[in-house]
Amino acid sequence: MKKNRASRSHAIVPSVIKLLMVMKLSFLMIILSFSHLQAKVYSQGNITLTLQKTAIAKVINKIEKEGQFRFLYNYDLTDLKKKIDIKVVDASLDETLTTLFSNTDLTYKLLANNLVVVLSATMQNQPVRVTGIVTGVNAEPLAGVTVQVKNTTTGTATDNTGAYSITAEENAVLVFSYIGYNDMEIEVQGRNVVNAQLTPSEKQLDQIIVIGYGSQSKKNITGAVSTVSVKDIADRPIINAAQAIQGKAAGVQVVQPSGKPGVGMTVRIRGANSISAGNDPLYVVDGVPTTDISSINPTDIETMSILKDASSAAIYGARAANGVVLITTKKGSGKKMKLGLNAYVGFSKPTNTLDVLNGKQYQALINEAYNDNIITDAVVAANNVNWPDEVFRTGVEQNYQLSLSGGTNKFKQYFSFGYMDQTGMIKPAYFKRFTGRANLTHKTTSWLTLSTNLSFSNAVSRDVTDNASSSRGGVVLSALTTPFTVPKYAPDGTIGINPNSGWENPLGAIEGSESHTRNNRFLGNFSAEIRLMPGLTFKSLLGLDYTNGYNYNILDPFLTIYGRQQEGTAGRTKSKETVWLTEQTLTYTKRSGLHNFSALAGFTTQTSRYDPSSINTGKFGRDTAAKGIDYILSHSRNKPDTSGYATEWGLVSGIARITYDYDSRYLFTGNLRADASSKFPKNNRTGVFPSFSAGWRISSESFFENVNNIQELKLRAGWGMNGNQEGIGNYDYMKRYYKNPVTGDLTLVNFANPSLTWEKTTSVNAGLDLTFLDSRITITADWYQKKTKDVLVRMPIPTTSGLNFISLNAGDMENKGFEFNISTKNIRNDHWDWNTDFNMGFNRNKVLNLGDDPNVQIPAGDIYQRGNASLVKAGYPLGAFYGYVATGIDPQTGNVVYEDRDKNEEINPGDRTFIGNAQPDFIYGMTNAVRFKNFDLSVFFQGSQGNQIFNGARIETEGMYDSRNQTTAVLNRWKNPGDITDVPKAIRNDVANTYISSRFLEDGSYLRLKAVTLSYRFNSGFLRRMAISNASLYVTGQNVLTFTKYTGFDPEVSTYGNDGNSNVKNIAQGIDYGAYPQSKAFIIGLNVTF
Amino acid sequence: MMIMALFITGCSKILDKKPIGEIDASTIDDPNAGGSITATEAEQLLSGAYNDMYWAGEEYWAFDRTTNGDAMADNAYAGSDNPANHAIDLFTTNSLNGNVERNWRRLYTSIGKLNETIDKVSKATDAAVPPERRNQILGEAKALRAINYFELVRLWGDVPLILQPIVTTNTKTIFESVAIPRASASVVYDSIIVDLEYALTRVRNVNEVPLKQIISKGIVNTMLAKVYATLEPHDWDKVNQYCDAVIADGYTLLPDYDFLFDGQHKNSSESIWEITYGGWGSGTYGLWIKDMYIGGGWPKFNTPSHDLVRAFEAEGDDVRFHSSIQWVDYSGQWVDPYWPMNNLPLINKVRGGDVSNFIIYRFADIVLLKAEALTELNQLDDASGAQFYLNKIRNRAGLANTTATTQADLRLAIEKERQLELAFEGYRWFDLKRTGRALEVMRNAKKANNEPLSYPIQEFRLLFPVPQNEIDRNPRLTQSPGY
Repeated sequence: MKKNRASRSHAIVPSVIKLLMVMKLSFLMIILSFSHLQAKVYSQGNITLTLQKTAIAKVINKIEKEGQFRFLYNYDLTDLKKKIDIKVVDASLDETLTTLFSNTDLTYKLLANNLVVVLSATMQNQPVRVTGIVTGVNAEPLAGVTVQVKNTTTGTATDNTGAYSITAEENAVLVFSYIGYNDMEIEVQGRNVVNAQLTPSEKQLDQIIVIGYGSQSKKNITGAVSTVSVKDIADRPIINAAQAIQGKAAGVQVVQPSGKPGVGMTVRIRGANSISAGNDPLYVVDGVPTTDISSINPTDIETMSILKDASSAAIYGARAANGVVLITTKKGSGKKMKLGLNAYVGFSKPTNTLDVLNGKQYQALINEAYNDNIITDAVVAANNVNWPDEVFRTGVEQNYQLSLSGGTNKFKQYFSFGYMDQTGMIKPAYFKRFTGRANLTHKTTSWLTLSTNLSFSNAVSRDVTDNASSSRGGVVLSALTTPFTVPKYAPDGTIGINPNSGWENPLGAIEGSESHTRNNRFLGNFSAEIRLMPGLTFKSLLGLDYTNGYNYNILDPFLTIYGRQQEGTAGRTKSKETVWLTEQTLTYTKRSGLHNFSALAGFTTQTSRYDPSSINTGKFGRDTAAKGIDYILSHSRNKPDTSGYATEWGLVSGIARITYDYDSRYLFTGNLRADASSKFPKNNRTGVFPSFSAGWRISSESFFENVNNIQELKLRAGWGMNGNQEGIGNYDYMKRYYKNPVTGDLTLVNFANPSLTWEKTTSVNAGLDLTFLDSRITITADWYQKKTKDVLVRMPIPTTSGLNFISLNAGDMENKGFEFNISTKNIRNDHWDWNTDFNMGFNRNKVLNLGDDPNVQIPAGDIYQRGNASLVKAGYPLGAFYGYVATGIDPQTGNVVYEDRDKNEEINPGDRTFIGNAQPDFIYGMTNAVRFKNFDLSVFFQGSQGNQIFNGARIETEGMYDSRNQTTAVLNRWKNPGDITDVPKAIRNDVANTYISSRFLEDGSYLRLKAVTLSYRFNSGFLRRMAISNASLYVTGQNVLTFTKYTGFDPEVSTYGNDGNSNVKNIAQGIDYGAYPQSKAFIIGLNVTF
Repeated sequence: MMIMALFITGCSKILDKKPIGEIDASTIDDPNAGGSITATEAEQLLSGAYNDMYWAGEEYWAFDRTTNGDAMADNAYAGSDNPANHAIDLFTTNSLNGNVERNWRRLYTSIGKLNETIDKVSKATDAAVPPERRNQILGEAKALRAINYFELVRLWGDVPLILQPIVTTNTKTIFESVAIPRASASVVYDSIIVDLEYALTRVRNVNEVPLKQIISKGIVNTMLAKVYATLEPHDWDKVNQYCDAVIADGYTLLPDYDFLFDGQHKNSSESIWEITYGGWGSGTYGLWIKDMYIGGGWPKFNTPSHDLVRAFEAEGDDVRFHSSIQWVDYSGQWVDPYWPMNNLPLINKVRGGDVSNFIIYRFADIVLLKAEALTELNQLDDASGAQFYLNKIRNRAGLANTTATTQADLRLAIEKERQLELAFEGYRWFDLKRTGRALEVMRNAKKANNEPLSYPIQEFRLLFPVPQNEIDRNPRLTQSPGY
């Protein structure tokens, strides 16, 4: 067994060395230069010394440096500072020390391993050398445990094997403390060996919170940090890790812009800070910063920490302004290897359906609008295809994960393999992801730990066009607006068309073209952690994030009109993105009496290179199309067009942090990060981002001891400045021309801005943590105010300049708010357990300034042929809607009446105004978890209140201006003078009733039963016979119920939520323009551990 | 310390990133150091400006010009189902109209790029770019700028006149350099003439340019003739003079009218200004407008009007009728408000696919303009006067000599001739505006059954509204009166 273990641990070494080869040479040198330090010296030797007027301590140092002896002494011994002259030649240790200590109070003891203990001869109690091993759960050795002699400043820490050695008086008391564990005190009682087994703390306060470049006990946190742990996401069909945060962290708004498989989430931590740069948080996956977490398998996640305020996020400096989400994946634990199997399968359908006109109703509408018998009875009788039913089907979701976890004292491992397959409710769309992960930790020696986290993912998806007008190929709107009278196919096999408009039915979007994407991503890191001395650790980390993207699309040359006109088109893009991260950090922790001090200093670099290349062609036959993209590209009649480019960025940063607390009562944290970024001009590229925060745990004060039933009361306050450079183009500060690769033509593409810089967000945070009623109720509340300066504005400039935009740091933005979380333990007994978590966040956002000119305004959110629905202007929040004010339907004409705001007696663009806002008044989430015997029930509600949605889809589904089919809402349309209704008349080719106006603005508030999960844990006696340690079966409903007044498919919607243009993405919030509907899913799953 | 040192030496490599695949202008544009662009870069800037106009600008030059020139006039209906096009056709457009906005942006985008090019090239040293070639380049760029302004001033009247590149020192200079008020149309015309006269003495003759899309003396003379016929008051002596200059450049009418549109006679002797499209997959660009006019599926744009069809029929003008309009049976594909789907007229002048050329100006226009100038100068005879030139056009189309002899009749005859000769080529609306006949003609437009179409046209609608989004970007910009 032992041999086995040894060979296994050795087997890892060559591969680790291989990995190290790719690291910087300097890093290797560090490892090598330290490796000889610990070489043990046993031989007796002779000492030769000649020193004048030297402190005794220095002499001892000198002897120690010879390498034969190690010394232990208390620095406080005054005689150590005494200066003496000494001259010894070839003397033994005894001779040397006797000479050295003559005329002093000092004496010494020689222990095993040539350890020399220097002590005071006058002390009553004899110091003894105490050694021991500190272990935790499952008798695993704990490294880094602080061992302190009570009421002294003497202390040390355990090494990788859990061993420590300390000198203490015979009657001393040793205090063992370790983050996440209960403190333990043991009397020495003259023993030489004192082992300790620590027990993990049950107290929430002792919970370990992962923070930037480290971890901290919850009670010592001074910033605003929310956490989501593995149990919060278990048994829910979560595909993107960001879904796990939704409704679980106060003040964090997560919107899934649509129900399309594999769709990316919009995450806003305490509101949006920017207009044209990025507003998404920085994600840090096992220490590697990234902006994309779609490849992370949520089942591999151990914890997520959301750093919300400036002081907690500041260690990420120039990239921290939007908050930071730290994702830590599972590590091996326990001595026994455990094999885990998780599987679920389920079905999904749209959360809501919209009723459209049948053939007869459609006939009446169109003949009215055209004032002619355009749709005859024969046409109605000829075809009757229920297009929504044809398009929206039942989707299937399935997920399988196999994991292997465990290890030895030296070597921990976690392996997982996952497969996820989501087939959409609109047929061709799917998302499949295969993921593999290996997280390994090897305690190579007592001072060296090597770790690696490696993950690989392969994601394959097929897209379908949504978020677009039906005349632009949007399949959702096409499903609603294609009349039942339109056949699926024409007699010749081409896609059927609406004979009154020429537009194809939704099968055109579904079958007429295809778009496939495949991303292979490797995300991993390798790190070496070296204990230089107790409390001082050096860590070197190398991270790699490599994505290989591949995507192609084919427009069938036969099925659709456009396809036939073009005789087919096809394109393929291959891309490669490589991000390297290096990180060197030193951490020092020191506990001295009740003073706890830690410091972190480091240096990190990150570089990225992205190079896509694409090839496009057209004109090929169906036979060619059938043979696939590669064949098409080499057999099309058009000569393929190729293009390629590359773009790079780099970031060099220094980081520093100091934390200090006194008795966990008075807490202080200071952070500093300096960044230099390649995205800014040379003289302007360095930024310094400081932060400070402090906390006061009133409940630890002696005067608080008499306060009954309050277990914890902490006040926190912090200030800090963070930066944001995400979304700023890599070369935005340069004047640039595009050079046509074929003709050599130069075309101006960007104006220079030599003063381009990062956005700076300064924020203050004040918080309160309160636990009372026998720890049954815990409240965390935070108030904050954030001001962002130099907000990047992709400033619309007059086109008389030659271009539409210039990137300027022209804006100021403010977010302020309040958020809280209440956790209660309602029932706790042997059979029952009922816990409730409730959180709520209020955020107010306002654009304070948009540059020197008060008239500057930036529109976004295009509605086809109608203009933009959103507008940003100083004094208004981001996401404000702009349009006409519709006041009703004129009973005489049947037309929409708009407010003539500029009183010029006609309705023109000057009558438009701000009509609403997409940002909610507050967002909230509530989870109730009930355990009854072997049953667990979790009920999770989540909601948003006070936000509005511009339902642009209704322009197409209730517009009645052409031959599109409409929803049944138009059955109430105006028909005759005198009709009182809120739906205007049908009028062909007139869009005056469908301007962007308050007519299409709706209350988007909702309360949703996001997830309800019932699981059953099988009886362990039965399982043991099956060699199973745990097994549970569960059923989950996702998006089960939604309470809303919104009339579209679903109030959780954002057509521009994933727009490639961050300007549009930030401004055009809350628009529904035919987004793929959200799904309601029912899942059955099984978790088994062997 | 050693590690720090190692890393910091590596930093400049991490932090100094240059664009890959685009040109960092600092290498070609260094005004502080008194730098100069090279001859190659001067050529690339010019061809970049051309191709931006012809490729990115195809939508305007080959497509929207017909919407504005023919659908807004009585030659065509908007067709299609785009509300923006319908609004233009029906005179209900407002400042949010998507076509109006894209037209404004297209023209000014070209001007902005031309201003950059003119600025850079004029600062090039003699050693880098020989003066003769530099003058040619500047002449071509200035002529292109004038052409863009000519379109702007005809569509909007007073427009901002900007002849220098943007100054991007700070927000203030950015806005001061490009966010300027509208200049009066006469000032814009003055500038157009200055640019064209500069170009006239510097650009090459038509037989010296490789393709007719390159600015030649013929194009500049044509532009000058058109400008003097358009600005108020018209200067018919100048029109006459520049038409003569074009004629002297050696252009001739093709023997067969249909040669102009059959795709077999590219860069012909009648063509003055013609864009060459290399087609998709050539690394250049393809002409895509054919699908907008012909082929089943979705409704087609700019469908011929009853008025135009009646005009062809009344004139017995079979040659040009057949070259201009084709009749199709698209029953069941959509519903047209003006024509039966089983006998639907569509534009027949754009027949080729992506490798077709597109003619912007051709000699027949100048011949008719010459006739018009002579009419106004009261030289009406058929030996060398207005009738002579009018008949040249009529005879080529297989029609007999004109019966108009008086000045008043000849004015109308020439107007009619231009309608038939140049249908769907983007002329009609601007001809009617130029002659002050737009309101009268549009109010007389009639349906199939000869009932009036009753366009709600008012005088202010002779000009487009300024796009609201541009006013929002430039608060000094005022809206066209009436909108």
